[in-house]
Amino acid sequence: MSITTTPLFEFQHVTQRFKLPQGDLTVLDDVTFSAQEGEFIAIVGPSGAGKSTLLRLINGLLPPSSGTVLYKGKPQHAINLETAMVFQNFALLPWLTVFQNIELGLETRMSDPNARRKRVEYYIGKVGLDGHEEAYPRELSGGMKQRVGLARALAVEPEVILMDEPFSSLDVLTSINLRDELLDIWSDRDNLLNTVVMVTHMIEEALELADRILILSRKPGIIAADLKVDLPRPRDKRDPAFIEMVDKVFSLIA
Amino acid sequence: MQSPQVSKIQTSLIYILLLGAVFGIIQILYHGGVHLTELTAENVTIKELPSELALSFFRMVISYLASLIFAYFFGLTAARSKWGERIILPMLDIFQSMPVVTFFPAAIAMFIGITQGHRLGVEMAATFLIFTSQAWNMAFAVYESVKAIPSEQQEVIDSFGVTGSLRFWRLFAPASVPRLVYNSILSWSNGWFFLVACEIIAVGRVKYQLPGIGNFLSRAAEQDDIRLILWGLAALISLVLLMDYMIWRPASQWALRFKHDSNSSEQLHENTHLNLPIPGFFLASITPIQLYANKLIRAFFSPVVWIFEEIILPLIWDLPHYLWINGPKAVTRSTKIISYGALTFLFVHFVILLVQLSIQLLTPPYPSILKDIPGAILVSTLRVVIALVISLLWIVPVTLMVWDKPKIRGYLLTIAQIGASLPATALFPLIILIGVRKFGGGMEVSSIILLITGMQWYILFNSLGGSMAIPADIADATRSMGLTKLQTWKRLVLPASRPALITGAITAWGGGWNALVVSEYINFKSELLEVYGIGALINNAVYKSGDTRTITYCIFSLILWIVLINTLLWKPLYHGSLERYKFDG
Ligand SMILES: Nc1ncnc2c1ncn2[C@@H]1O[C@H](COP(=O)(O)OP(=O)(O)OP(=O)(O)O)[C@@H](O)[C@H]1O
Ligand SMILES: [Mg+2]
Repeated sequence: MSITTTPLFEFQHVTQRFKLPQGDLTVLDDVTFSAQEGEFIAIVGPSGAGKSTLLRLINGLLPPSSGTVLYKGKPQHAINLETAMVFQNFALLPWLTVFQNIELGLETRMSDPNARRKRVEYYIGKVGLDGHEEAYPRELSGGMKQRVGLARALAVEPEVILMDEPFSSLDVLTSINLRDELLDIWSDRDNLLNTVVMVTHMIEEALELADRILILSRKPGIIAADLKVDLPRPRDKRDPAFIEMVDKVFSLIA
Repeated sequence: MQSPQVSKIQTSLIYILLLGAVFGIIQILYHGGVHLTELTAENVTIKELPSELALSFFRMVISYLASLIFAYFFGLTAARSKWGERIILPMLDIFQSMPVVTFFPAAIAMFIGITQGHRLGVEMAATFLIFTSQAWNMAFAVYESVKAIPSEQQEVIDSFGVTGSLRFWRLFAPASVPRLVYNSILSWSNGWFFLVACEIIAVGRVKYQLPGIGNFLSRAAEQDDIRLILWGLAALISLVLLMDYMIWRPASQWALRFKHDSNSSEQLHENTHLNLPIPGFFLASITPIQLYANKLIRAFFSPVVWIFEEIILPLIWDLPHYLWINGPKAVTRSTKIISYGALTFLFVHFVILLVQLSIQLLTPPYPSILKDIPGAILVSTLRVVIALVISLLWIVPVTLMVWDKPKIRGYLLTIAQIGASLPATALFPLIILIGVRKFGGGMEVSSIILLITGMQWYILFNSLGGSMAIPADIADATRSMGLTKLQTWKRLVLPASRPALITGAITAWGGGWNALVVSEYINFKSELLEVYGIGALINNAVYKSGDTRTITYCIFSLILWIVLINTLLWKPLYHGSLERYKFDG
């Protein structure tokens, strides 16, 4: 990875406003940054800072009010199908089974039903939902739904995965397992998925996974800090350098 | 919802206005005197339009208030007591499937008979008939919303020891507001739609006509004066639009506060403040005029609220509570004896009446009409089904086109509200003159067209409402995955609108029978146009012979048929779809 290559995606003076009855709300204010292929970026910041909004902009769900979002050097005007999103509230379709929910995004991309079936089953296994293929979302616990959302995004094998608090409803053990799984997929250069953008509220989680942390602030909605995390992997939470880093991020947020 | 903040001057102004209105109305009533007889040949002119519209509006207001009280009384009782539920729900179901004309005999007996044909009695009868087109669905709204209160909320209220009428104000009233507002919009539209039928009450040779917009329109039609009809319709549409702007939009906005919303920050995304199936394309901006109207309305309602709180609520609330919910230990012996005694007396009386009626109906000779009924019902059913299918054929595609376009959807909902309010009977001359006579097709086609004008709006209302309720993050997720338009329709919009579509179809089915009765039998330029069907049979029995036995046979078989189809077909379909297709996964 050299610094001179074109960034994978790039925000140029991106401003995002929402019209509300009581007036305009500026959520992101002239944000400029870029991300290289292969990076694992964590986004932290207070509630309402615009973290989910940032992910939506990368995904192309939301056109910016002003400024440009570039992907591989090209301005984006529609949904970017090289990226896949894990939604904060899972956003599963209640009338589809676990299997069908995961398959949904593949229907446009893979025409061969057998290959599709294999792919879906593979990722159901990855997130540990074997045996629940035929269950409906309402029969699942919060953590299980979150894993369906995760599998749905992984299954399309995107170049970039955008995750909105993907481990927040999981129990400790499952979340440790899934984090490891995610790191494996990310660091495995054979598959397409080399870049991760993850929103999280847990500073320790950010430091454990990411090699770059963006701290968003609220009012004004800007990137208050952009930190490199140089700690060696696998990371140890009891390492003094790690603890020092936690304190640093904490002081930047507070 | 308590103590509206209105200045004393405004309040007194309103009382003065109200008193003036009451005085004026009494004047009109007595001036009208008792000269109500057969249909007068007297022509209507444009000059009568404002006063006739005002009179109809006043009847609608009274009937709406009565419906509100009815809705809370029966809705709450049904929701809170097992027995109430068992008796009241089927009752509402039956009433709902009874066409307005079938209430004529009851209206005449109850109001006109007692007052000996006095204007006041006729007024009350007409208001009662409007009530029959408004009340039932509002009672269902209260019942269903109270039933849908999450048990956690009930438990919170219980755990703080909130009892008595405070419980009503803190739990049941807020919970029922969103559905009730929505159903009130439907009820008003319904009231306008059947106004013609309500303002001209006729059984056999007896005929009472009241000045009002419904009467105006039908008279204009008889006079074959298209311009007058258009004027009348324009006035009606203006009033509907005004009410939409001044009352329903602010009310819908206000009702949003009572929705239990789910957890997410995503809730704010663009279409979620249109979550309620209500017309609301500019809900977000309430203008000062609307605010002022709102204040006035609240001031108007403050005496109503007072009456409700002090008199009706204790009745709704405490009486059943003492009588049966709380069990015998809460009541004194004498009240128990009195109340149970009264109930038994009423019950016995009712049974005797029923037996008498059955004997009367079952003794030969049977009217010859009996053997016509099954065939007529079948033919009519076919018509209703055709109208239903045609309505679905245009509404489903429209819903698919506009589900993610809140603005257009808002306009469509307003159009639906207007469309639903136009009395079909007023449209008849237009449809017959323009459509059928010009392009051919005959009475058979026009009766189906008329049926559609009475049915399609329910489906449109519901279907748009259902598509509106799609949570923003789920819509985003399907977009994010790059689903094609076709896939999004198939996987997201159609399944999401399914319960609402079925509700719409059920409501349209009920309303369709009501409209059927008026569309199979039309007086047009003193020419009688009718097609074979149960509606025509009923109309013939009501308007021509006035034979109680024939009327009873027809109505009884029709109700039986409607209720049968409801329980065998619609209910299972509805419950099945609700379970599977509801969001909260
Ligand atoms: N479509 C929208 N319309 C109006 N306001 C919006 C919209 N989307 C987001 N907002 C507002 O923008 C702000 C940022 O929202 P966002 O969801 O990006 O925050 P967040 O940082 O993800 O917060 P959290 O940590 O609570 O998830 C919030 O105030 C939110 O209400
Ligand atoms: Mg968020």
